[in-house]
Amino acid sequence: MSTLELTPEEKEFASKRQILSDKEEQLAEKELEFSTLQAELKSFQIEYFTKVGFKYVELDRLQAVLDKLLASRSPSDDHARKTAYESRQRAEQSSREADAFKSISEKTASKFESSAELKSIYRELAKLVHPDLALDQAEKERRHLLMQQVNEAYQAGDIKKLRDILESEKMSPERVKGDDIGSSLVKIIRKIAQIEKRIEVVKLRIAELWKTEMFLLKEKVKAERAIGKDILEQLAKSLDGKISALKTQISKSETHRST
Amino acid sequence: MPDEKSGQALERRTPDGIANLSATLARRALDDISGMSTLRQNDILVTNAPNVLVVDDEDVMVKLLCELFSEQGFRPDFAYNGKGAVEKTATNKYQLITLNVVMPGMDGLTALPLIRANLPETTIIMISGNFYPEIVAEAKRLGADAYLSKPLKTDELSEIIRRVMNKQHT
Repeated sequence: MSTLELTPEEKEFASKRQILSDKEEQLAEKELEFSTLQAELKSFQIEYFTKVGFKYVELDRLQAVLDKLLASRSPSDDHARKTAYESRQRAEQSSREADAFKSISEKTASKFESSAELKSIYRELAKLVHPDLALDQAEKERRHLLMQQVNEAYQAGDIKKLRDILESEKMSPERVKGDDIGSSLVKIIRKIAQIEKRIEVVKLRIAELWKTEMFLLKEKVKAERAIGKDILEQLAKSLDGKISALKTQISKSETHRST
Repeated sequence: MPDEKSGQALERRTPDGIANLSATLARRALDDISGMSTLRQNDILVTNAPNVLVVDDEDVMVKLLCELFSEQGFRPDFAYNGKGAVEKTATNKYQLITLNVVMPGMDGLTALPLIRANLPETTIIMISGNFYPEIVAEAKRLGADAYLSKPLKTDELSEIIRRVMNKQHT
């Protein structure tokens, strides 16, 4: 059939296909932005913990030790007891956050560096395997796992793995199913709706990431770095000072108690 | 609905919770560095030097412009996107703002009217690699005062700086 003799549903089909293809591009771009942001944030978080985060944990632990010592020296002092209690709470919170970070960070590459090639394979894969491009439930589930692998490989900078997934997916029998125009049109309309929904979700997730304390800190550190100042390094030094001062105080208090 | 389920399943696999897990520790660092920052708000407000806000997502551009403005007697401050710029202009006063058009997050044209609402008197220069007529028209409508194309020409920038300084002294 020549293009001049397109039936109304074929015309509609062609137009919807164009919309679908644009939406697929948009979705791939947003997923890429989200994944990149996550990877950058995780990478910064590792730097944060290595340089200062664990120092806060140590600082809080020592403070709790000291306050407990001081409280035990004057059992009738309510204020001292309250302070000791609060210090302990704080130390526990810091230590919980550090433990949570440790358990999550094991799989993460310590330094995230994206490249044009990495991004381009990611976009291609997102368009090919995104769960919201599938209509069948079993296929969706399969793609969830696949997309998860894609995100992990991307964030770890593993181009080879991304290429392997791309190759095997291109060969997938899922890709060569034929349909009549009516059901194809319905499928396209559903896909567009799913994609639009997912794009909104990803936008929201990105906005949520932007609002986190860690992201604010990352931006702040980046801003200072732009003018040649390493504020994390400076903070680490200041924490070292505080830690060693606390240690001195603790050992003095212990001597005091034993005498 | 199948797509509902798909959305939820997809959310489960995304580890965005990770940043929030360290919220308290990150907040501590933020509070502690606020005293160390070179770009303290007070710093910016206490002198008579005009304040400039450089808004660009590229480190290199930020650094370059900040150095250049610094040499010209400005107190430079910066933001890496529109959102940051809007936040800064809500609390700080600037005599000059250079605003990149294309930035991730909130772009320059989206931020422009919000910045203008915060600072009606400030000279705002839009910076972009491509100034299509429709972008210029839109930027003008939204309150931009001047346009500079990348790569930046120092004489054009100096001319604008001179104008701002003159306005400052009159």
